[in-house]
Amino acid sequence: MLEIRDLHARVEGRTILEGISLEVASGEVHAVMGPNGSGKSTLANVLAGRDGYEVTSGTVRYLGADLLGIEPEARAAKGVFLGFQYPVEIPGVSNTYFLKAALNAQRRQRGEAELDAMDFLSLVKAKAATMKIDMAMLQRGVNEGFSGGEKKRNEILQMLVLDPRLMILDETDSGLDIDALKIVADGINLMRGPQKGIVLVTHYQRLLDYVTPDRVHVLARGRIVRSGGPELAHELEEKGYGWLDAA
Amino acid sequence: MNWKRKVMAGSTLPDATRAAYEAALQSVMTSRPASELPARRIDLDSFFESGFPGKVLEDWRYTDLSNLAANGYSLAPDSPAPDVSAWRIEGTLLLVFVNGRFRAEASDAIPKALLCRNSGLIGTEDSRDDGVARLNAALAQDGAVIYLEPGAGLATPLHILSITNPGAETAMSHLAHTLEFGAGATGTVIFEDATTGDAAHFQTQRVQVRLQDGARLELIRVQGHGLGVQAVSRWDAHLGRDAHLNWVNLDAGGALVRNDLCANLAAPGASLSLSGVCVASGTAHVDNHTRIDHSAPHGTSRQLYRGIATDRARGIFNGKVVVHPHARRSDSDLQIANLLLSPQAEINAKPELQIDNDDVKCAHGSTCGQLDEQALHYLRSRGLPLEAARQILLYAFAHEILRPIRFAPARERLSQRLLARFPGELPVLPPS
Repeated sequence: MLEIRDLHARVEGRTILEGISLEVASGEVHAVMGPNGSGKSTLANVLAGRDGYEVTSGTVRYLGADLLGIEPEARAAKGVFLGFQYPVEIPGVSNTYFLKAALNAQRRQRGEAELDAMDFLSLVKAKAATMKIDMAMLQRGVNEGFSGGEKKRNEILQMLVLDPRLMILDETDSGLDIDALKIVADGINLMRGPQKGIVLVTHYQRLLDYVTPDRVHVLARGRIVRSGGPELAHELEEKGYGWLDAA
Repeated sequence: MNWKRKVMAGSTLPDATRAAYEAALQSVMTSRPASELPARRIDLDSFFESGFPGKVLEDWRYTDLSNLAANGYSLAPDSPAPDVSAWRIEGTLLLVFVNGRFRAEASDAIPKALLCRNSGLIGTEDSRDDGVARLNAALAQDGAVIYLEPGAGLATPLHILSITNPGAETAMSHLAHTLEFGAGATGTVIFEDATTGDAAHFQTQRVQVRLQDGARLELIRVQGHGLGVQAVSRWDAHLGRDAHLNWVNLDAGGALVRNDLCANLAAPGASLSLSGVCVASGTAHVDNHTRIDHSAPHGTSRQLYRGIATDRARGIFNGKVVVHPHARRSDSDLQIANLLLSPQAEINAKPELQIDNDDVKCAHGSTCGQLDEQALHYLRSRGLPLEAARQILLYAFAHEILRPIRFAPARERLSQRLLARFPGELPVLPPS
């Protein structure tokens, strides 16, 4: 589903990614772990197409086609979702309005019929209940005044409503207490399936206690230095990231 | 009443222009009581002395009206009201003025107790006097005069709609409204300006508001002048003890617009919320000057202004707060935020605080910038095309100002008017 080959990228003139290669097949959950500054968030932002992240060489193919040449909104319409490390507050645009506009914009780009208000509302209510988000929160401005945990739950709600195929979740577990972590993990597990691919970008192992990855990769200094099964996450938890400097 | 007033100096007027204004005064007097003539005569002479205000005056630094002096406009002809159904706001009583004159046939019947039209234009204090104010006093053709008795509640909000209907020749119209709420009276009043067509027109408006002790008014203004209209409006609100004014303004039209929004917190405990949003495009020039006087202790004022300028438009916001020496425990906040969407657009924002008392809480802030890149990316990453994302963020930025409007049909109307100012199409109207 996702094939990253020898990806180099820089931000503000500084090279951050120095040759990443990674393949995620349909139905798989991958975890990309690494210390701060290793390039985890840069990888997530490059995949989502954020301005200012310049790919200098390498390729990214998604469902067999080039991903890097298309606009962020087109990536979204093709089923790529980025869960933000720091979800943005947008006062004055309600959550429901935003979600409906986004979902229908994606459907239009795919040539599908738009959802009417009733169908949309029943969809969003069901998903919101899963994420323990009430109607009052849905009516508020996007992430406006939300706590850190509420913002992350809101990201997963958006993911459930938009129903993407490839999900890249950037530090979705940071800032969560144990209850919120379980809710978020439940939401992610709902999205696992034979047609789906998930990349969990994380610093810690604790989310992986609830969402078991098929593969774990360790990112350091802009490269994947080690890959393995779920047991690699436990090893990192025990040893920390210090050994990477020696590696 | 002392009619001899010292008026700030401006430009001088050519003879042809004077002759045109003399003719306009004669024309106005055909439908006004003869007793008004002496005072109007003095005002017109006073205007002749001062001319239109121009750049030499600090308050008119950015908006120079002296070029108007070259044109001797005549009064716009009486014109029947166009079909006003598109302007109607659900649940309001409509009063229609066309080219400066009341049109009973297009207006709703207003309870006699409420409205006493033609009762004469009451004078309140002038916190700022200039040539335009004199011109308006001399040539005001008509206006709503509304008085609400002490303790009364205005069950149905009033919608005062002024339509200009420009003909081939550039003409002018002048309105003067007064609004007085007796002690403890409450209500909502909406002023709306509209134009049929994009031809040129010059209009002055004067609105005087007096809230007696404990009165509460929601005052909403929609400036929706046509693209050829040069409009100068001057608002003076006087707040009595514990009176409250919630005042929301939308500037969504006009070629050259100047609004002077003045409020005097004249007695203890008065509170004011004054907010406004201006969307200027093309070559529009929109100037808002506010002046809040804290004249008594324990007054509260909150000002929030947002502006968006695109193309080659120019926006000006000058917010002045004056805390007088005995106005202790005054609490004042003034916030201005602007978005510049094109390199040729310009916005001048200036908060001005004059505080003559130590025992006060005054804050102010002013920002000017572009759309938040992070927010844009966030919306796009969810599938919204760039242009739609931009429109949503702009609308949200501007719409924050309309949210405090309590009368929902008015909030809805202003939201639609605001939305119409955005060239792109929003996926659906965001909820208000």
